[in-house]
Amino acid sequence: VRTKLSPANLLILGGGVLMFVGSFLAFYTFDDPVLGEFEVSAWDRALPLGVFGIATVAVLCGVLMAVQVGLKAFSDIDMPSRLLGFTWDQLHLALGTQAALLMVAFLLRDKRPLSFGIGFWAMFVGAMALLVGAIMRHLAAGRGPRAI
Amino acid sequence: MDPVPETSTPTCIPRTIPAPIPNARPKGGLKSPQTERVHGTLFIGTIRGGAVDGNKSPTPAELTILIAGGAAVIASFLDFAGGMSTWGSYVFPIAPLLPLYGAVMAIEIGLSTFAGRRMPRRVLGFTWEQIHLLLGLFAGAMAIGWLFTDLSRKSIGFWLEVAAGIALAVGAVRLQRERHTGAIG
Repeated sequence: VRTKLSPANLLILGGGVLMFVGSFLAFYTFDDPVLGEFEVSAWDRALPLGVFGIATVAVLCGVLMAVQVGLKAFSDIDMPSRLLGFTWDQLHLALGTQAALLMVAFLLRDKRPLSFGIGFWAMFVGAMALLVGAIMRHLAAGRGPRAI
Repeated sequence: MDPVPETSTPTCIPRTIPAPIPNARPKGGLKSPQTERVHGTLFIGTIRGGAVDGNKSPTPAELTILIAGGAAVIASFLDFAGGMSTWGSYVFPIAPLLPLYGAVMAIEIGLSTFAGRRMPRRVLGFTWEQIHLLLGLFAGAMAIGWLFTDLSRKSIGFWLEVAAGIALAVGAVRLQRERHTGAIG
C-alpha cells in the first residue's frame, strides 16, 4: 500500500472531499424579510434554478477523481492502467476541467435575489483544486507541457 | 527530320505508388495509443472508402453527432424553461455548455468529413476520438442532470437539449466502435 501522496494527488483528494462535503452545505441562501433566512444545498430541489442535477455532475466528477486517488494510495486494489482508452491522468484532466467549468458557470449565473452560501464556495474552491491537481498530474506525466 | 522514337524498348517512368491522394486523412481507428505509436505510420495515407477529393459520406455515428450537435445548437435558441432560452438569465452560462459541446463535436466531424480538413492529430494530448467520447459523455451526463432538475415550465428547447445530449453520448460511443479505438467493447 502506497500512502505517500504527491502534491497533485493531495489537491485532488482534498478538492474532491471538499466538493462532496460542500454539496451538503448551503449552496444558495436567501434572506426573506417575512420568512427569515433559508438555504438550499446542492441536493435540494426546492428552487427552480437547476442546482440539483447539474451541480450533482460537478460533485460526481470530484468524487470520482478523489476515489481513484484514494484507492490508488491507500488500498491494494489493482487498477487498470487505462479506463475507456484514457490514462488516469487524462481522465483527471477531463473530469477536473468539467467540474471547474460547471462551478465557474454557477459563479457567473444570474442568481438574484439569492446569495452564495458556504457550500457553494467550498465546492468552487474544491473544483479549482481538482483542476489544478489534474493539470499538475498531466504536466508531471510529461505529456502536457508542450500541449498546454 | 527527327528520328522516330523506338517503341520496342521499354522505358521506366518513375511513379509514386500509391499515388498521393489530396486531403487524404488517416483512417481513425487505431486500436490503442500503444498500437498507434508502434504501427501508426502503417496507416498514414490510407483513407476510408468512398472518399473523393477529401470528402466522404459520414458513418452512422458521425451522422448522429452531426444531427445531434446541430439540434442542440438550434434548440439552445428555443424556449428552454420559464420562457427563456439557454442564453437567457438564470440558466446562462450553465445550460449553453451542452450545445457548446455538441457544436464542437459536430464542427469537427463536419470539417473532417465534408470539408476534407485535416485536423491536428491530438489536442492537449487527446485524440479526436477521445475528445468526442469525453464531450459526448459529459453532454449525456448533463442531459440526464437537467432531467432531474426542478426547473419550472420545461419547454421544447429543454426536451430537445436533453434528447440531443443523450444522442451525442450515443454517437460518441458508437464512434469508438466504428473507428475501432478499443475504448469501448
